[in-house]
Amino acid sequence: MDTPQSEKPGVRWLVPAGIAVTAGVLIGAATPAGAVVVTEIQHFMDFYSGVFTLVGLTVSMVAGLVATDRMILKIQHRILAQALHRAATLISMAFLVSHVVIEILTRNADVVQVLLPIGRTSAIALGTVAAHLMIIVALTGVARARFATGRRPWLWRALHWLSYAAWILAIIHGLLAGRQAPVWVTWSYLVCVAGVGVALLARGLVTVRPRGGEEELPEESRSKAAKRKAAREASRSAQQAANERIKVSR
Amino acid sequence: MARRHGKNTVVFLERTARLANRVAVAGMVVVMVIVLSLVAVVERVLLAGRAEAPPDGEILLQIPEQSPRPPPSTPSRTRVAPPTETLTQQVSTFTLAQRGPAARQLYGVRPSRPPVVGTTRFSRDRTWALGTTAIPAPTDQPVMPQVTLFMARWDEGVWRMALSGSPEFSPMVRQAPVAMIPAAEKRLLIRYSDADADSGSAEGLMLPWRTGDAWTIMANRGASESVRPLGAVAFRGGDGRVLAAGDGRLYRFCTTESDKGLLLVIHPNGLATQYYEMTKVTDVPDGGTVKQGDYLGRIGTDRSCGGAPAGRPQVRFAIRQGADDVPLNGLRIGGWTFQERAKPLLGWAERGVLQVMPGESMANFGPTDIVPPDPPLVSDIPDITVEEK
Amino acid sequence: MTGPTLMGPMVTHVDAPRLTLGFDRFERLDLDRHRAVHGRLYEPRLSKLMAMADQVDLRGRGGAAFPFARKLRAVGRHMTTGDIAVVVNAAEGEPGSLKDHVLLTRAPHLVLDGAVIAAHALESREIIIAVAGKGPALRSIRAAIAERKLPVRLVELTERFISGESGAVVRAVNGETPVPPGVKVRTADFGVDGRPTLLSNTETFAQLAVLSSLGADLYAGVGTSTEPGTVLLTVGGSTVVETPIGTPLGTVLERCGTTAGQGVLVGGYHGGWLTPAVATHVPVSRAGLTAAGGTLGAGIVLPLSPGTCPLGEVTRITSYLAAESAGQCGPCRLGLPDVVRALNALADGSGGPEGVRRAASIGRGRGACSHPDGTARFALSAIEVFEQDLTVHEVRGGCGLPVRGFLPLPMIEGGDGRLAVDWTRCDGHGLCAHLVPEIIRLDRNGYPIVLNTGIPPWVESNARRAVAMCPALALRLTTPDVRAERRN
Repeated sequence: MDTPQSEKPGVRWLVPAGIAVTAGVLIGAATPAGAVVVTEIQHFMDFYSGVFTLVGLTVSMVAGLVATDRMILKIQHRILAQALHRAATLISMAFLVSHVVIEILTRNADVVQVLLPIGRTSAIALGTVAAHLMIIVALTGVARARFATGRRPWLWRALHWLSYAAWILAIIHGLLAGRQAPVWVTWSYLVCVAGVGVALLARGLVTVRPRGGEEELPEESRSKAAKRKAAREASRSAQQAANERIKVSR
Repeated sequence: MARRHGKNTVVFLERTARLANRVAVAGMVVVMVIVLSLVAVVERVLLAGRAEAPPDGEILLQIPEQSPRPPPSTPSRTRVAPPTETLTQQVSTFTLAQRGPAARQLYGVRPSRPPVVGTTRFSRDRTWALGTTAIPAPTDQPVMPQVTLFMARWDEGVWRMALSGSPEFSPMVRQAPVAMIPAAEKRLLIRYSDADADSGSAEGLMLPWRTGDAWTIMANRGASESVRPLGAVAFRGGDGRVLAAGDGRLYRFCTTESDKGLLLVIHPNGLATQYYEMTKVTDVPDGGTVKQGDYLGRIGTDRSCGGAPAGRPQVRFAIRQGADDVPLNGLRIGGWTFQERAKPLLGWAERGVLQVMPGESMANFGPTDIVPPDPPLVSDIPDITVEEK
Repeated sequence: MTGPTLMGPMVTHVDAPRLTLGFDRFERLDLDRHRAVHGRLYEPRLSKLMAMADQVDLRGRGGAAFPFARKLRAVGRHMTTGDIAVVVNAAEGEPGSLKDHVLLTRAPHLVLDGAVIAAHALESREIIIAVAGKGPALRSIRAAIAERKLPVRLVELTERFISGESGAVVRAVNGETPVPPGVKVRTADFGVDGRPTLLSNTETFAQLAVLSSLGADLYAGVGTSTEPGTVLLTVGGSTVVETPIGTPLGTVLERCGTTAGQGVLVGGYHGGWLTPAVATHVPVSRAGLTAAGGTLGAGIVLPLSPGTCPLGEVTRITSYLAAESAGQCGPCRLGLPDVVRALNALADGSGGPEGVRRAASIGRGRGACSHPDGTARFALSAIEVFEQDLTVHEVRGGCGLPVRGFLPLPMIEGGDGRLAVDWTRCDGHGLCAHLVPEIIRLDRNGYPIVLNTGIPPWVESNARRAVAMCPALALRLTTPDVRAERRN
């Protein structure tokens, strides 16, 4: 019962508008006045796209960790946190691409170094590994719905945890490679580290204390789990009965 | 949580989905902006052609970008914002034309890389520009790269340029807007370019490290065809911190990164000292003042502008005025006098009776020009002979 | 009575046929046969046409029963200024209706005659026929148009329940999203491309052709005095029967070979139920059926045979209707699933009829079209008529009868999925209920209850997002094949 794309009114003008904007950018960049603007953009990207990749990654990780919280957040906040997590990942991937492209253009890195973690400086190699891990993690995120029908749901989480490794490598890469950082950049690194640390702590609390959030005695938590199980069974059987009722028997 | 208020809760729940949609859309928009910017940048680079790769694979991006091919601009049209990407190219060509032969002579071979241009300052309306050019040295010659300051002015559709050391430079500096070049700096630049200070008077300069420390001096002839035994001088030792030899204003060549580059300090007397191969270079901006003894960098192996590798960290040092290097012969710096002789081909530094050959260490006595008197020549000493009766 | 033909459903008639004239002899009336059966085409002037329509009080056959003369007058006002368009609405959105399909496949020239008559009277140069889906109906009308070499435009519509709503048809012809417009616009003033448009049902145009050919007096020779003429009914979703207005419904059912069974639904899924006793005697007319608590509508008559759980059938149909909402009006989009939930509660004994009444009242009068109203009427009349069955459900939690699916629904296409919960993983996080509140609600314990409707199109993207966002990966989208496998 898919709505054909042509039926949705919003989509129809989107494609021509997108083409027009892209053409405009391509033409504008060829003019000399455009060249001045583009040089500024290039300067900005050269300096900041790497930083923003890391910041985006950090925001994404913090949002993702926050979204698992059940104690403080209401459900709608969790959904918004997940939406933020996805948007931040998308943005940081875009910055990652632009960072890599700019570094290749300025000959600070070879094209080969994008694919393989080789090179004179280990700093760039670290960046390559971090980027690859980021891509894998992002792909698992995109394909999350597939895991819903698979037989190994734990696999998704295991793969997604590679993001921590990617993040750590990205931090080290940022500190080692490239220019000497001005003070505020170093401070922002510290803030990123602190943010993820706090979020991890919150996540740890969730696993240790399941929903409810109060300290429980072992018997209490066991009986609570039993009650939960019973409630779940009740819901399931009610659901099944409802389904049976309107199921057409032949 | 689900159904406390019936329908209203449901509508409220729907808002969550709508908000989530908005977040997703915002993310997509930002991504599109980034992607489009990247497309524009790549297009720009492709249009300008690939930047030439130096033999050792390093090149640094200048501001504005280096373009070996001049874009097709019509000169008769006056623009509001002059095309700055043509400036780099034109300065590069101009430098090669004006200073290329001299560089060739000094280097011994034709320069293999195009000049590295950096425009550091523009006037507010971008019709005036002040910047630096350096002709990179060949990688097998242990010489100091030739550097020049340039002034450029957008006049009726063309860039008019002048290099420091040429007669057109000073009038242009005078005419430049004061907002761009303060009066004090103008005086300095004019004096440097006109080279009307008596050369040889390196008054008030000291050796470029901490007073009292002793560093090793390395020297060689520079280019293979050069006749000067102290053609190329470098120092290393001590705590490795290179300091300004005298008060003056600092200019940066060969790089946009803040911790690398070749530094030129122009002193009030019109002489300039040059420092090369340093690392962790100070971030004093172009045209900024330094005081004698201010930190400039650490000895290193940076070769942003070419030159043969020395193997060990050092600072390459030279004196410059106008368009030329100032030979060290007879120059008094830091209490030492440098001497060069042709036959035999020797260069050394002496202070009183002390003589230091290349490879040996010399102490920095500070910006003193009190020199112990020369030892009397043997011929001045009256000949005391015992006369025979 | 014509038996089942290759061209589709059975067609029969009570007394003398008019629209279905010639169906005994021919499977399809091409141009020659049509002229032989119906005679020459008369194209009266507008004033004469309006007078004729007034005299017989010709009403639209699409369900709203709007006086056709009034419509002609409204559009005719623009004759001098505007470029009038004539649109034949052959969308037939309801699954239980087949009459438009039959007319197009077997008597296309009758419909074209009607359209040409209207176009000539209004000096319109554009005739558009809106057909749903690609099938024999489209092929037949296309062939007929080619035969007459008429410049008629064919527009294909999606096969949805609301596709046949007049505003939705106009929008589809204009190339916009084919849903009823949010603000009601008079098609007579602004229709196709903003021009004045005469839009009527297929059968209305066919009746117009018959009226023109017979003349008003002869036309009024059958039917009742207030509602002369014949009407096409679709009985049981399989037989089309033409009957003079006023015939007792029992006669019609008998002619079609069925009985009233447990109750008869008249007027389609926006109509009302009649008890067997009432159904046998009620006359087939607007007045008669409305008085009995039903409605004539587009002539859909669905008797419910014994042996199936009526409540279950009604729930099944209401689920379908809820999923067929255009999704643009809150009261309909959210209220109809509520009705389904109330019916479910009724069926398992956990709720009562007041729950259904309350849920059905939210859509009343609100919305861009009559979908919520019609569905509410359908559900409410069901709980009146099937009171006995209701009591059994209330007391015993079930009547013991299975749901046999006697009420027709369109075939499920391949892409139709359902949301299902993997209970071994569900931990009651509740994100799904926030993303897809139409289909998923949380019960007392915080666990999800998934409504067993299909996934309406406007919900699809949120449903996929819910599947991806579930922290326990406990939600999934299943396809019908998978479900069938699981059942076995």
